[in-house]
Amino acid sequence: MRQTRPPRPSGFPSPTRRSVLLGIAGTALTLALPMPPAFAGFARPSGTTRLVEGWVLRADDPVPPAHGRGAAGR
Amino acid sequence: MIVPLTSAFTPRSHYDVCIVGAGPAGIALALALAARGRSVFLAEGGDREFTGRSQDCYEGTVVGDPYFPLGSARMRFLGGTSNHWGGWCRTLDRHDFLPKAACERAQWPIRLDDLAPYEAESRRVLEITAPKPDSMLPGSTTLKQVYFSQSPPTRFGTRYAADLERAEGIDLCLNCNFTGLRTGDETIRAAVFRNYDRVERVVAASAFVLACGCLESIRFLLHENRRLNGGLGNQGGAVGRYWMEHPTFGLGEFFLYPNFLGGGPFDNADLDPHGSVNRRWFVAPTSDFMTRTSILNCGVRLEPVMRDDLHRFVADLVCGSPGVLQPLLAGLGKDVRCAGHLHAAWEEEPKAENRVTLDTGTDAFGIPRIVLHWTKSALDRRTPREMALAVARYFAQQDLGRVRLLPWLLDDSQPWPTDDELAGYHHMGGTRMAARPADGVVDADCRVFGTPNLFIAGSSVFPAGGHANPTQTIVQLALRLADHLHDTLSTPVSTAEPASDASR
Repeated sequence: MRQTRPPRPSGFPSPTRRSVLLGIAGTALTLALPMPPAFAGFARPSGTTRLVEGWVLRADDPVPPAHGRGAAGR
Repeated sequence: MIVPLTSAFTPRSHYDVCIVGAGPAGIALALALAARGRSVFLAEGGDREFTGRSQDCYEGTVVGDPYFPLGSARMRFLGGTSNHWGGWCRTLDRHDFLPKAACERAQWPIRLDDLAPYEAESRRVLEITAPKPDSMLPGSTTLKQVYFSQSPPTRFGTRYAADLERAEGIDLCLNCNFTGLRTGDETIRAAVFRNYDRVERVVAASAFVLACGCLESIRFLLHENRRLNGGLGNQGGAVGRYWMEHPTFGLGEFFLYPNFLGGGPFDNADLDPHGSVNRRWFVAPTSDFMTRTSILNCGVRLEPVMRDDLHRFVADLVCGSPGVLQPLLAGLGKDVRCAGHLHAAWEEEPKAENRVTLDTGTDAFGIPRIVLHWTKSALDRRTPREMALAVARYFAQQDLGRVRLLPWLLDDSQPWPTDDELAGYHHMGGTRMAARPADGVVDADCRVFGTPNLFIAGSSVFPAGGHANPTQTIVQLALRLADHLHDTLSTPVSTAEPASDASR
């Protein structure tokens, strides 16, 4: 039987097993860390950015290299 | 008192100040002068409420970039354009008054300190509190978070009608349309007004102020220059020129990761979802960044999508660029708690070609309608692009979230969007303030060059617009002008005079 294309998602895209596990791990890590009383800085500053389909991304963002075009960092 | 212009109305034989236009500038100026004991004739071309016959005087033509119909971009009845004002208030920045690397012409002959003494009183007039002070974004040396105050908004006609009625020194005349000046010895002796039934009155005063809104003040000055063979502030040919708006467009979308909500610079808890102004965050450049990138001032708005629509909005973003966002969100294992649109309103380059001219058609009083020539420049596109890139890099570098910029912003070969906000309904320039007649129309005291007793109040005197909404600056300038007029009028404070036929 011919498989039909899944409908356009109405909410978040269906999570993969990997993303669910990473999400749980990330949430657990966030909850384990003490909440600062006031804003005290950011997690992983990085000076280099690149432009991908209009998105200004970090150099270490997990985007396939094929999607990269141009650099936004200066 | 408030009285319609009819055959039964007779003005006093002489007023200290005659003000044309009862909007925010005219009303603030009249009340401030009356509080010092000055007599004021305040002319409003419209009625207490909207009428089509009055509004028709505002019809005009736009040439160039897409813009709003001139007949609906402002209001012509008591209270003026405050009648459809959104209530956003912010004073200009200190660097807005100074020359810019990107455009030396974008400067004032006065400084922020000249207007600062009127800030508290302008807040009282506009019924606002002081905003939070601007602050640098954490970890940034180029961007600052800025704040606006929210007026109720004050509808000047209704809010101050009782004060105008009570003020002994003020004669506020409705349906009282300015049709011309009478001159003598390089000064203005009188102004002529007419109602819709051709009843005419001549008003004599020591000083005259055009306070009828940016485009209307320009129109009257252009017409008077044509009628009187020039000389009214047009020595440098600047009357009508250097007109400006705040170009206002969507720049892209953003999302924020959850771990920075709560105590961070972009905290949902700081927003008022029911307000019109403070349900957004605002970011602006430092003066150093403006100099380094050769841009003008720019206010970037981060407008979060409300919680109920958040998942659908993010899903649409993911569907729009799945190759980027799916691995980004899944790989980082991060939830998105806030997402929204990136907009900006920015300072436009003052250009001589952006101008108001007189058309061949006339209004009901025989005064030519206007043609507005408005085109945005390369600098007008570079300013939002450099700012949007700076904001987007900040989000990424600090791992705060990510920003997507729209194609037109990154590619100069693409046309400006035509289905966007376009502009802020902020009319500025055209009778710009300058240090010398060759560069502008009015001096630092808002006095028309070459005419000692003719002044202009309102945003047409702005030689540079910054990114802030103009109303608070308009009121500050009007209050400052009230001080100047009171201090320099040669006549002593006058008492109310009996009506006289002499001025008919």
